Amino acid sequence: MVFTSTVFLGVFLPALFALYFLANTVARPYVLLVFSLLFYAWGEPSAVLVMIALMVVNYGLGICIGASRQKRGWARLLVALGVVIDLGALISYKYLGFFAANLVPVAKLLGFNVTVPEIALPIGISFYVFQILSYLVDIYRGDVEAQRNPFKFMLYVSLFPQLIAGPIVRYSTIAADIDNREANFDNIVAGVRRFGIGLAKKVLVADTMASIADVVFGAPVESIPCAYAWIGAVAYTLQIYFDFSGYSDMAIGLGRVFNFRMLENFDHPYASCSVQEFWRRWHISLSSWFRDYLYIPLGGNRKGKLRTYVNMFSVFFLCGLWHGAAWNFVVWGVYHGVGLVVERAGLKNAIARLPRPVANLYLMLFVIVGWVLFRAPDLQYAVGYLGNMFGGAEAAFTSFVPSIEFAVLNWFLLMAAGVVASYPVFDRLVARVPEALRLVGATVLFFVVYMVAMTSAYSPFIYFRF
Amino acid sequence: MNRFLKIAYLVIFFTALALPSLHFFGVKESWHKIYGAERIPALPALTLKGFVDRSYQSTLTEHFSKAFFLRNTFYTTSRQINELANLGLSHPVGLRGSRIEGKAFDERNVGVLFEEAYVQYHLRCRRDLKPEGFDRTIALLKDFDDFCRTNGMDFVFQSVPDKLQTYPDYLPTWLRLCWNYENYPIQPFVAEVFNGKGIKTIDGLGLFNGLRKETNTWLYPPGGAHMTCLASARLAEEIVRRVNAAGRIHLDVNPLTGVVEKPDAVWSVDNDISQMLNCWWNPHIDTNCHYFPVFKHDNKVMNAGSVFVLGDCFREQMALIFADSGLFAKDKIAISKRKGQKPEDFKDIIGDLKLVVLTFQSFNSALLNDGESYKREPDYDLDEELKSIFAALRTAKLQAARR
Repeated sequence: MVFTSTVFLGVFLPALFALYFLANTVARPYVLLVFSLLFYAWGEPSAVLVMIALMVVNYGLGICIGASRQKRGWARLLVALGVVIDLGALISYKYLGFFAANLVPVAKLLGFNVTVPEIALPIGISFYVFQILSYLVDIYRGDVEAQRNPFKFMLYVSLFPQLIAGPIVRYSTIAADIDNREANFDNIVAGVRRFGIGLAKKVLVADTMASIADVVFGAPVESIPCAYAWIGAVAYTLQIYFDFSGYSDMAIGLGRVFNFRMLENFDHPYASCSVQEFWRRWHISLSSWFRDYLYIPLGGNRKGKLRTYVNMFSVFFLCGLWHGAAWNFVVWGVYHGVGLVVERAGLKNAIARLPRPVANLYLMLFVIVGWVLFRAPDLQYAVGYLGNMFGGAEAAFTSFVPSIEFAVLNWFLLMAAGVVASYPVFDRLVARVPEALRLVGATVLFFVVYMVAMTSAYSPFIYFRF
Repeated sequence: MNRFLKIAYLVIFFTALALPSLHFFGVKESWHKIYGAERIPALPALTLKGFVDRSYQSTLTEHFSKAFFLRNTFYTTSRQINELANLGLSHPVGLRGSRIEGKAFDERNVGVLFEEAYVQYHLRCRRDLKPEGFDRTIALLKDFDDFCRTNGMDFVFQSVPDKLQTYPDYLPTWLRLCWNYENYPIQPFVAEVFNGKGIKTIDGLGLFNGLRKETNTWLYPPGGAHMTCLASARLAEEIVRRVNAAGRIHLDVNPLTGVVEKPDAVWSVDNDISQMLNCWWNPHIDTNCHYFPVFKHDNKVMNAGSVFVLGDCFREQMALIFADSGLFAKDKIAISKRKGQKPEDFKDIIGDLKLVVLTFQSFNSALLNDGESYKREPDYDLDEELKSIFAALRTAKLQAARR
């Protein structure tokens, strides 16, 4: 189910709010759990079975790891078993087809006949598998206690606001909140406002930027003139930020309504001045997950320069792969990994001496090129597209030109607003407005966004597919 | 103060969320009235099977999105906000037109006659009429015409004006000046040249211009890119008039409805098939519209000789809809392929085929562009389409003659 859909806004949410707040505090977690499973099953009913199976297995593993924490070897074995099962599920559903497709040519050479399996990807599996893994490891490390109530564990994994597109919530973050089912007026107001802001980001900015980016990236690459290639890349840069951060806002807001305090997932990433800073501000829950559960266990920066570079590179290779089973995602991850390594090797010193706007320009250039790799349907297209951007492809009249001109004319103000809103200055300005005015503004904004959402076409979130 | 505003905010939020659900409690009349011309799918019973195969989800989504009683208001307001948001620099060419009876169309386009992107696309595609492209098309059609005549069939070419040609007076002046609109409607010229070459050609634009003087009914609706029933019927009547005038076969026209009564003698290659579908797919509109370009809608399998060859995109889907409709015998529906029409596609109808009508709405653009801008859109490749159909038809006719 999509947050911006009429069924979610008009049926699911009202029904959930009504039943949840009418129920007593004991029944509320179960109301949330049932609605979360329904939310997940709505899109692909069979996928819920995969999630439930993983919940059952990992609930048992969590209890066992918690009970055997004193026996480190045994606990380690159980964690390893959990990792194998969870990553096994992730690999089977998400990467098997990709690996097989890449093996076909090699297998043919060797005389084997390899068929590429067609496996439907359970939505959000990358997110909830990472949540479950962090849960097991945190129990093993003694950071959290295993949840003994199976339904509350299921609620942690399947909590609908962040279930299918993050943020990746660690159990330690919401362990205390799971038991706190009291309704809190301030939390409800704050949550609803945050949800409204997220909805606005998605519906007003991301979807309209998509109308530009989709036209450009949908055109044959040889027909995209330089200026339009840049417009398309910038539009996609704004789209993916407002799409994903909007979803995160909605998730955090809805969580807040139900008394779950999730950590922030974005902190104005486009205001960064280096790739390293960018990854501290972009998809924070994912980058910190990779840092805590992969980079540091690999040795982090404690084992010499070369090993640090290898670790960074490996993390970003896997980060790219996490985003999708396709080579352009891998290349995108490697691209960022290389950027980080180069910065660490010395470039960051040079960047530090630059005026902040210039450093930001460098970072944005780096990021925009990265998003082209990310958005392009394949690598060949991406290379051609980048060639148009930097090679100054000549303007030629093609059938898509009027459409892109129309889209730009229609949305240039929103595009400019999107650029401004990507920087902290926007939040600082808003913070200066009196609270009462902000509330009135939020009310008007919500009404406008709601109106657009209820009448807009299908608009899935980008990060759903990961 | 702040607490009061917070409460007000929550009240608005929750009220807004609850609005779409109101129709569960008996406000159906209002949206039935608003959506009189649109089919709103009934909410199916919630069954596990429907949930698992996801048919329930899609129906519920469609139901909610169409049944929401404030939908029209929301659309209109959204559009106005959009215009404000871009300082009015770009806006759809709006009309305060009433909804068109008998026309199902996308609600998002209510009150919009043209989208600027559409206008600019078509006007900017304009090229000078290249003699070589024009001559090639004439030669092809002439060949087609000769073939039909020598095999006892009539051939009529009908150019269908598009929306831009039909309603240039609704275009903003700057758009007309900017994109040199004056050279866009070439249909009268084309009809004159084609008729001069012996190809029976109906100038659809002339017909439509005449019709606009006679009636206030829309020929293209705001919110839709396909002709209305009235426009389709007028074109159909003109075909009948031309065929009857030729004297080879005689088609009767129902004096009440204008519907052709001998559809088995007619084969239509139509690129704008939805103009017909729009007339019958919606159960609400049967009483308002009985017109088809060549066929009558009477909810029966029409006859053994009727074959449609669909010449536009969506042809497979449309053919399936036709097959399911019961209007035509399933084994009598041939689908024109993008390229490579097969003679066997025509074998069942070739014997009694008396008339081939080619109506082509995209003809104007295709011809003006000499195929240039449509090369990546094979659906609009006139030459290929015609060559393919022609070759297959000729072979089928020869085979039938041998038998």
